[in-house]
Amino acid sequence: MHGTAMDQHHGMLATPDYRFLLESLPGPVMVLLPDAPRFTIATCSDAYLAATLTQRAIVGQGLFKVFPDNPDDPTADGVRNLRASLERVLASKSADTMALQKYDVARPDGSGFEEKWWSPVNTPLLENGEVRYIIHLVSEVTDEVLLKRERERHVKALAESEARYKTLADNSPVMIIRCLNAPGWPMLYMSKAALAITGYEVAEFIEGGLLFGTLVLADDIEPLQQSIAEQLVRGPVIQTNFRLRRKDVEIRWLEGNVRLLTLPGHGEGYEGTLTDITERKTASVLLAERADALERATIAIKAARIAPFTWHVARDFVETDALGETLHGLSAGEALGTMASYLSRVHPEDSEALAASQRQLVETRQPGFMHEYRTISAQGRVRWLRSVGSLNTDDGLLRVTGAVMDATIEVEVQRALEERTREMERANAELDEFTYIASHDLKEPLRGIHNYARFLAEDYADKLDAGGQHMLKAVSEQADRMQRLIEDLLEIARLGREPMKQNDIDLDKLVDEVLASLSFSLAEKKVDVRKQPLGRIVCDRVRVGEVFRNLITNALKYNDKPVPVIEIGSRPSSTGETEFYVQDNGIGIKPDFHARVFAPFKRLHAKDAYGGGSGVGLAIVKRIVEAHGGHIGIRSAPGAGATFLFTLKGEHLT
Amino acid sequence: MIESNKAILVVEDNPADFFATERGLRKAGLANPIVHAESGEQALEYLFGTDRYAGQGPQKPGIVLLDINLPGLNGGEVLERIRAEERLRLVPVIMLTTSSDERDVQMAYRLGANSYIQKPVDLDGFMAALKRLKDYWFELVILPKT
Repeated sequence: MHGTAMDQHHGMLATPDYRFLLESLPGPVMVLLPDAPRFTIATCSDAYLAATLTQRAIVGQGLFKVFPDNPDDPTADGVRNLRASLERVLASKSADTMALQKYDVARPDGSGFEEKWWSPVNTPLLENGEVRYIIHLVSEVTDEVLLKRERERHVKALAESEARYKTLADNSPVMIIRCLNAPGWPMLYMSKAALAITGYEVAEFIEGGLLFGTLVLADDIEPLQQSIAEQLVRGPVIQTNFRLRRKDVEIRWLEGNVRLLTLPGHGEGYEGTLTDITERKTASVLLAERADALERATIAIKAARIAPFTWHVARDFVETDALGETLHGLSAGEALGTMASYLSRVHPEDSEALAASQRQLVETRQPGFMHEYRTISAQGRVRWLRSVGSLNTDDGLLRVTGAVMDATIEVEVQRALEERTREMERANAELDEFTYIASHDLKEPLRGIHNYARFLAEDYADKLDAGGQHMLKAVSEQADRMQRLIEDLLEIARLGREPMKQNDIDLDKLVDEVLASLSFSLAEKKVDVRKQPLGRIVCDRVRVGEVFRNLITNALKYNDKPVPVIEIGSRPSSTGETEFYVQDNGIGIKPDFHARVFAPFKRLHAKDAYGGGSGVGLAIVKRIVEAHGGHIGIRSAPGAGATFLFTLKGEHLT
Repeated sequence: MIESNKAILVVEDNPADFFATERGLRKAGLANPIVHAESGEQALEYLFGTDRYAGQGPQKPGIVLLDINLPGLNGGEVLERIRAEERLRLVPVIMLTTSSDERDVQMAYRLGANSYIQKPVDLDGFMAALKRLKDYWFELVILPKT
């Protein structure tokens, strides 16, 4: 109606030629009157109507009445931009190309606006220098814009997802790799985890040309390649386990999950993950070992005939296996039951002590225990049992768990051994006592013999001839010798009866005193005494003095050199103890006799050779050394001198 | 001091030791009667005038030289009996023994011995000891009159 009038008014525009021209233009077109600010729509192409979802009725109407801004889009600036462009066309009388515009149009069904993007050009149609019409030629680019936006959204989403993926990959303990299927598996990509797993920087592989294959343990390469080959027969997915030597040479177990594929621009390669499974592997090895150990322990327990038991304290129940039941004298199917019933199986002489210690165990929460007790079976068989265990409160339930075993033989052997030892000690003590008393009693008649010989010599000397006097002297000498023997025997017996004193003794001082007391003999035989430092030791001063005196006297006595040399010193032994020694350059002792020299009254030479002696000196030395917890030995050969070496158990300070 | 008429009771089971003791005492110059008891029992018979000494009545020697290791009653038991008898309480008793065991020494003094002498092993030492014993008990020391 309105438009019709306008068409009529601008009859020219309504002619078929104009219409044809209008419809033939590339893109939708609208012709406006320059009646700003109304900008009446003079006419438009059908394409324009279609593009703007309008009808021909818009012709004759004000442009901005027909095409207002989208009220739902607060940023809509279509009206403003178009008006500005039209104003510019009017002012400049020249064409104005507008930037890409968002100019939504209302849907004909009234359901709001539809997003539209336009690329408009406004061109003035001049007549006599005046603007007669404005040609508004548009091309609709909505699809392109929306498409572009969609693509941008996709690209952004892709970039975000890639970034997320990279972060994930870089922070993952799993190493993501892409490599060539070529010797040494040259790497094309590795995630940052490569550093943690291999110890090498990613760049060392990718840029430095470090071949991953060179890190695989030599022993594992061939099995690895074989495994890959076998799996490839079934498909491109490969799972492998192999060991890798890290940069710090630590060996790690890796699991590879890769897929064989064609890498664009590279040919065949693998892509996938490598995971450090050392901990898992170790754990599984440990688990396997633990299972083995458990099995071994179970077998050992069975073989050793050890019965496990548990005393559930709260519900007062003692649990054990068939062996445990047998050990406690139960017949098949009979259970141990309560603590009271368990104790009733125990030998009456042991049950009270056992009960007390069980009570104490629970009361004091002492962690472990060992009990030995007897049980009596219905047949009266007595067994010694040893039970070892501990208190367990891990899960809040008080339990005593442990194992019980038959210790009858062991206990009996132990007891027999203790009895034997006691008997031996008693016998030894008795022997010492006997020796002491016997030698004591021997001394009295001997003194009598000695004394009568003296009285005889004193009172009857004038009545005896030379032969008689000689015999009387011999009686006296024999009595003297026996006297010395008895004294020595007494000394040995005394060593067995009296404990060694334990004092911190300065051995250098002690040996100096011994040497001083022997100075006359030493000087007489021109002995060269070389004394090395001896230090201090905890010992019995008098006794150890006797040891040195005896050994020095011995070294002096059995020496035929013009200048006897005696060396006294100490040195660490092979067992870490301190070994004292007295060494001489004397006649030496045949190895056959080395053990015998320490036997009492054992002499290696005639009674009068080498100054005589009772033959008990070294026996006394040995007894003193042994009473100190030490031992004595000889190193010697005939003619090569002798070295007596001995240790004393006491703490030695140099 | 002990007067020269007072008897010396020597309780000694070993004849050789008694012989040496008697010889030593005489050599030291003592003229006192020396009575030899070969056992503790014999010593008590002498002191209390019983059995083989029944005829001569209870005796009170000037001094007793008492061995410890005796057959039957030992020296300690003899000493106990002597000290339990009021009449003999103040008689000097000298333990003369080979033992130097501390327990014997303790026991002797506890039971009232006046002195404890270990018999020197060598004869010369023994003789010298007897001489010193004589010098001390028979000359130096002052004893109660009764």
